Amino acid sequence: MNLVELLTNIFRFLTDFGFLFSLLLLTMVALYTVFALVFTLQIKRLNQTVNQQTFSSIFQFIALVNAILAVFLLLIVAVTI
Amino acid sequence: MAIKGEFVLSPDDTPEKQDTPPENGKSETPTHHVPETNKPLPISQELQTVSETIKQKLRFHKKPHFYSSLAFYPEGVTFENQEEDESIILLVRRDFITNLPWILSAIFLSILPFVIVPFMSILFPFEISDTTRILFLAFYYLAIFGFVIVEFSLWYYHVGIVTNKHIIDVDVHGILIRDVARTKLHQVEDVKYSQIGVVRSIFNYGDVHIQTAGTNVNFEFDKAPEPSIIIQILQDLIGGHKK
Repeated sequence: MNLVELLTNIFRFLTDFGFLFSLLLLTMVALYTVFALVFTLQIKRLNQTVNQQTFSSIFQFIALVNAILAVFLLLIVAVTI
Repeated sequence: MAIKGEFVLSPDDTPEKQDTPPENGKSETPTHHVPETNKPLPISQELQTVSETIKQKLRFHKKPHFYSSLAFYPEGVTFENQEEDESIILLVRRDFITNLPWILSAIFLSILPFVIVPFMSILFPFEISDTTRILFLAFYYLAIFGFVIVEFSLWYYHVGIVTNKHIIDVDVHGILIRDVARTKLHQVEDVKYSQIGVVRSIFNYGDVHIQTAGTNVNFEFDKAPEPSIIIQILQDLIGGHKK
């Protein structure tokens, strides 16, 4: 592959807005996944600070579900794109 | 409103309930486990007067709900570094009505995709595959779900706790920003509250300010429901500790 072909390919990628949108989506989902994991850990710590029986464990479960969904979506987006 | 005045008074603390049988004729034994450290203690002599006032004003519940913004002798609540003989007298959160802005925002954001569907070609003037569209929509609703649980957690874990020994103020401003302050009851010098604005007057919530001795940090239970009752309880506790 010579330099001209390489530049042409790069230019094609940069003008393919559909692809760029998919890339943007992948980045956003990846960032959200990091946030969801951090949030789950933080909920666990907050439950140690103040713990209200029953409900605190439910929130921890909801946060965990959120994190699992985020990871699942990230995998789907990564595989699909 | 169900959210307001979710005061919780343990059945053990209501003498009139001990004399009268339960309405349904069944035993009122709690079905959940209550930690030994947080078993409601009998109301001390200092709190006897104020508790009578509260009994007259408010409904009683066995334990606080997840949406309770104020609980008196809450069952099943523990906190970090709680001492063995320390019992929680008050659990204060911001009034539930303060959650209204983010609840409305979440509803609006949930409806938004249905509104903008006719304008999709204007917003996205390039070709996107159907799969990408569906994945984007899935991400959008997951993000709203995340927004809701974060906002709710910021409200739920932002608490003020008054025990028979300490006052603890847990301020959670973000998922990574947590500020926990604690002082002994006998170090409290003065308590007051401010209730400014129409909304606060209508829904009866305000900021409770707790001034401590010397250079210690001052406490604030912001947007607390029924601030006058909180003040009464705090004043009784301070009085009791300074006798």
